[in-house]
Amino acid sequence: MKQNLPNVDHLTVKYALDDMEPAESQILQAAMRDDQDLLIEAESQRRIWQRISALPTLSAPSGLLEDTVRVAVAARRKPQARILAISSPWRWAAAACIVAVVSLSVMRSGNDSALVLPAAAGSETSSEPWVDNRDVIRLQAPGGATAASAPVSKDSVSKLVPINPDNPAGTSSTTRQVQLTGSQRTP
Amino acid sequence: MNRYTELDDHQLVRLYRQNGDEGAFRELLGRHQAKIYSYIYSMVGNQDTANDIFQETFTKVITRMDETYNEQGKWIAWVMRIAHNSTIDVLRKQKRFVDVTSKDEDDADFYERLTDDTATDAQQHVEMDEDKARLMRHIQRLPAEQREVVMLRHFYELSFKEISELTDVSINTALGRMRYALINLRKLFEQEELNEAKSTER
Repeated sequence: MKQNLPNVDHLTVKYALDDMEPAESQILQAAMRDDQDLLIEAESQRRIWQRISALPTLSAPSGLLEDTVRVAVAARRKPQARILAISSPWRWAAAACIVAVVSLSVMRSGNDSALVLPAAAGSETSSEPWVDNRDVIRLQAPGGATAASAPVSKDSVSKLVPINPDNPAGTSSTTRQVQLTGSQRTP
Repeated sequence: MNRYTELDDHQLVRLYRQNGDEGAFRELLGRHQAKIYSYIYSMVGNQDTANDIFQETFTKVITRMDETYNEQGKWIAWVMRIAHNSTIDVLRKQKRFVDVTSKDEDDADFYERLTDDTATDAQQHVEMDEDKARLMRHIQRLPAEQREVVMLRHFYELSFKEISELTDVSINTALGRMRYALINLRKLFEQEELNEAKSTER
């Protein structure tokens, strides 16, 4: 019979704690009439709860109460003091530092992103052509012309058709950059 | 009798929030400290830890009152939640949340401090204290999930719906935990009686 009733175990708890709805009470009473073990279990749980119910509350030590008031009130005042501290001139100095650092890092990342350096770009002896982030082949490392790269650069320039006849091969640039097109242009 | 005793919790909270009236806070603390402290103590079983949690609870109460307490709800229910969460945090840190080890030594001072107004003579007083001391020892041996349901019900007088909300479980789980707690306590009492009977026979 016990198995056929839903939540009958929970009903015994509610019975023990005297926390039953009338309908629940009827269900449990009927179940306990049919099941002696259920009756025994419900009554034993009730006795245990009666013992628990007799447990008295325990007052906090008086010294603790005083300390608690003192610490809690002090903690409430603390955030206000912090707000006052932030309003000092240091706030503006800190803000200026943050702005400066952010600006510098933005500028720096902007410069870096213009170039896609090859692995050996830092080496002065490198004469390998490389490609920048605009898909332009470059024959010279950003550091300037070197003895090794000069003949290659000269030879390549003589074979290329300038993109802009008015300013051929960007010769005005101090770094002597050469821009190549992949296509032949008719004069 | 001071002027605060006539005010209800709601009025006292408002007095403190608006005017920073320390007397109002003291009254609130005095009214509810026993329940809060008893719950914390019964959960951790150690006076120093209970004192720390109690102080932390009311520090949180006073610093968060403006931000998180909604005056439409019961103030004490909000405080209970803070106390409960602080207690569970400590138990978790101690990794004792599912530990069932006995803490008899820690609890000794608790039993000594228990008093009962219903005791009519010295002998009865001693017997009742001993009975409660045994019960508290057994409660301390319950898994914390079962202990918390028992203590929330007893000290905070919460319904199973409220317990389930506070502990973030279903009502059926809360009822199940209470059932196992009662069964385990019965077994612990039976075991203790058996041990006493055996020692008497010897």
